[in-house]
Amino acid sequence: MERNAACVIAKHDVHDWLAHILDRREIIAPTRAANGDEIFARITSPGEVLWTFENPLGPLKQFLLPQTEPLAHFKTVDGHVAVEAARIPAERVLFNVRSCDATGLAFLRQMYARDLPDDTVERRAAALTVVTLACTMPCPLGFCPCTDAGPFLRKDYDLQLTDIGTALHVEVGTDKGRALLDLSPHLFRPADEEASARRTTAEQTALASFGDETCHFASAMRRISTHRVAEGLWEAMSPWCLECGACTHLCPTCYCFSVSDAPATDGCSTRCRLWDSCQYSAFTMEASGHNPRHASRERIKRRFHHKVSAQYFRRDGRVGCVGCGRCVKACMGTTDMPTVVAAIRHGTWDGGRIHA
Amino acid sequence: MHLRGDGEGFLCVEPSESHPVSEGRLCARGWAASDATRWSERLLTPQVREGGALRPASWNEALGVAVQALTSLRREGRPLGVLGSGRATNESNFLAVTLARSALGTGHVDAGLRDGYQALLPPRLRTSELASPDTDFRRLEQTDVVVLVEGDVATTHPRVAMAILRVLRRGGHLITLGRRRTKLSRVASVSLAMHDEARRPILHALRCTVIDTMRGTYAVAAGAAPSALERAAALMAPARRAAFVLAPFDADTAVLQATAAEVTRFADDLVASGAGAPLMLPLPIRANTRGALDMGAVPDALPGRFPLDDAGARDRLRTLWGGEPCFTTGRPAAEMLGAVSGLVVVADDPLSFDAWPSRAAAQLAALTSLVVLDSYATPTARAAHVVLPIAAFGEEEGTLTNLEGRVQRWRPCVDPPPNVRPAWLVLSDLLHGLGARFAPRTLEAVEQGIRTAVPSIDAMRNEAPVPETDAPARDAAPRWLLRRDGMFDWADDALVTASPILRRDAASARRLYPNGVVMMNADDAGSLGVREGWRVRLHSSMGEADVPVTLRDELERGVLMVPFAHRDRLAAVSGAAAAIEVSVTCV
Repeated sequence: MERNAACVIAKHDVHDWLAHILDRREIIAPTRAANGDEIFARITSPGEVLWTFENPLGPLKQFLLPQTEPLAHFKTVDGHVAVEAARIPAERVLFNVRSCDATGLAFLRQMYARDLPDDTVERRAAALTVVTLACTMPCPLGFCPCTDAGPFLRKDYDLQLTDIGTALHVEVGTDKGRALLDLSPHLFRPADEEASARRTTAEQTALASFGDETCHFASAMRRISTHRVAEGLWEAMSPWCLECGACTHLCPTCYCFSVSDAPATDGCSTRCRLWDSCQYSAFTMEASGHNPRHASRERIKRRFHHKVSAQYFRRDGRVGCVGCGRCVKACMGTTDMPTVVAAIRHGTWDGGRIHA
Repeated sequence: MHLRGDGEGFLCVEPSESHPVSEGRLCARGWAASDATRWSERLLTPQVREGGALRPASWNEALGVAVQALTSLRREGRPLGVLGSGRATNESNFLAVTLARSALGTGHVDAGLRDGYQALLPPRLRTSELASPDTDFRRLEQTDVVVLVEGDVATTHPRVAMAILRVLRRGGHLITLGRRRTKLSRVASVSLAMHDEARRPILHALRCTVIDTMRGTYAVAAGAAPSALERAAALMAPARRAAFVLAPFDADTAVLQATAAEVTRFADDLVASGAGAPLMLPLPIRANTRGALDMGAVPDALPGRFPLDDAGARDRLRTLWGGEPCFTTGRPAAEMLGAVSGLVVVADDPLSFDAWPSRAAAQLAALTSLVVLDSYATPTARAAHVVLPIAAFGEEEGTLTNLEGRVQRWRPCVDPPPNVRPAWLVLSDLLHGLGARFAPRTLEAVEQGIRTAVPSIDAMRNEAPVPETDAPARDAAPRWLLRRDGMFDWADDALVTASPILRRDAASARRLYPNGVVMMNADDAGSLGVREGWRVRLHSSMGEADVPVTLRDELERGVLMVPFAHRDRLAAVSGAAAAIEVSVTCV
């Protein structure tokens, strides 16, 4: 069998495979919290993993770029300051990751590897193995086909699983993924023609299920990049943003951060990286007190210029959105990605009103 | 909300999709909840004051010093007080009330910022109605017209703002009454100033116009453009159901009470005119203000909001607490600091909300004994004689009561620091040291005690009515009114001060104006010949001060607004008054 050829595993063998992985690695997977929410969390037994779920609202990026990330500890010893790098978690498997989130993780890695590579992110990324579960049905608010981030992936995964009935079709993306199969080689067999055909059918069915709905990024990008968005549009939508920061905190591709030193306890201080939000008023405040984006409309404008303009598309190779739909679900107002993109295209803002 | 922690501590929060109120949303302060355990200056060990300075002590020593001081003061017959908090759990507030009325024999018990919430409760809106679905956000979202009396609800109460935006998305209407231009006033169908040109409350005029329109006794003159009041009336008259949302927009509780009373009259008139009963939604400042009130952290009621003379409530408390508890009316928080010799403060910082913090600081310094239970080194904790460090958010279990009346349970995601204890346990230790019979050793026992004292939410309907008062009449409009902005500075909220991200804005503003600032309408500034940052001299009956101005288009004319954070800088002109007439001259 070709080393990275696709293979299949019977569904009744999956628990054994997960048990073998659990013996050696930590597994983060969608599971059910005490209150019934579906969340990504560390599992302790194979039975805790969810196989039918909507993508959890909590972003997977916290396992690559935590909301609060200790970077280094400082301690004064004998008059000298000793610096110790923060602990990076041992090898982790992110299991049953949705395609949009895997794309988001790849986007963040790319971002933090550019210019001055970030060692902490690189080390965290190196310790992660990403096993995706291809989406055979669209999630209610997702629009990943518009952002080339799903429902099936061509890259950005270590293993891609597809539900093909009584078995899972497994595509190997990297050696890290192959290593997970090597933990239980007896459970996998090469994918035959029927299995491959079922996988292809599943992808076509999933894509067709999205219908004709699309987010029209290209149209919005043309308008933004050719300065055809009236300033009044941003002004009109700004009261509908309550500046909670959820869109940036939950977005798989938002990477802005701030760095702050936590107060010392026991003589040890910790330098941390924290998620920041371009929608917070002090995000661009300067030391003089001047704030170039004091008004909410300026901050919203900046966010969508960054997400959708051709300038960043050329640099990043994609729009700054993976179509996961989290901003639609979490926005306290209505300034989520699809609503704003529609407003940019139409040149009018109606507050996301529900029209009968 | 899900809290995540690991060996590095409490690191992350996530919204809960299934929560019936938040529905997967968090406001900025919610997102910053994990910061409080790391970036605030934590209290990590008990401390006692010795030789004018605080020094570390063991738990036994610190509790012993506190118990001895409180016992001595009680024996000498000197007044004692206890401050609960809307930042503390129901269990801690209940034990704080137990400490006051049972162990210390005092009626001086309250919770900071409680009075601002209670003043907003319409007189006839009793607890049982508060617990009804009327205060459910989903019901609010189904209304046709929302009348919002606000400070800036999008900033202070984003979940409420979200519900109002949903009303607009469905095609409903919003009428705002306020003193500045806010996000919600910008999307409102009609935005009204709080007062007309003669400084008469506009709410009264709105009520008269709406009711007269509904009764057909008033109509817009033919050919005339309708006024803002007439447009508002045209929206409200045909509405099947309206909602009144009342935010603590003023620092003066009498003004809040008058507004609540006017809203009640408005509601009565709507019903009498054939409309559906409107929803009422008064908003508290602190997350658990309602819980503190329900647990009895109020000087004129017992747990369950029973009147002090309610025989059944008294009997239940005698059975639970033993002996004869104190059933007398005490002083509210605003008066307590200057009226007692010994004070126990649970999870709060009175200096952050007192109208005159420098005076309050002097009053704290004059106390014979100040015992502070807190997670953070607040100014009040620094002034204490005994500091007892308690667990922070995410470190202890307990319940909170949200403004819908839902009792929510919080579970810890990380352990508290090694020498830090849950607040309820520390209060229980104090009760035990003071010889109280009810000194529960488990959280379950505390909750059983609450169930004994407050048998059911249905029984919590005997709230003492808020007296109706009218807004003070004014014969003539003063030239300038210097007004304190609100009842609390959200930059002093623990979730903001502890967040490196959220505190930047306020910190920069305070650095820019270290000696205070007043906000002035830009047109007023133009007529005075004053520009941004220039200084003006304010003169009142109390004194005068020079202060820079910052210009705001959204302010009503003739009003100078003092940001709550700068209130002490203007104390020479305003004292502790919420509003005062002043003259203004250029410097």
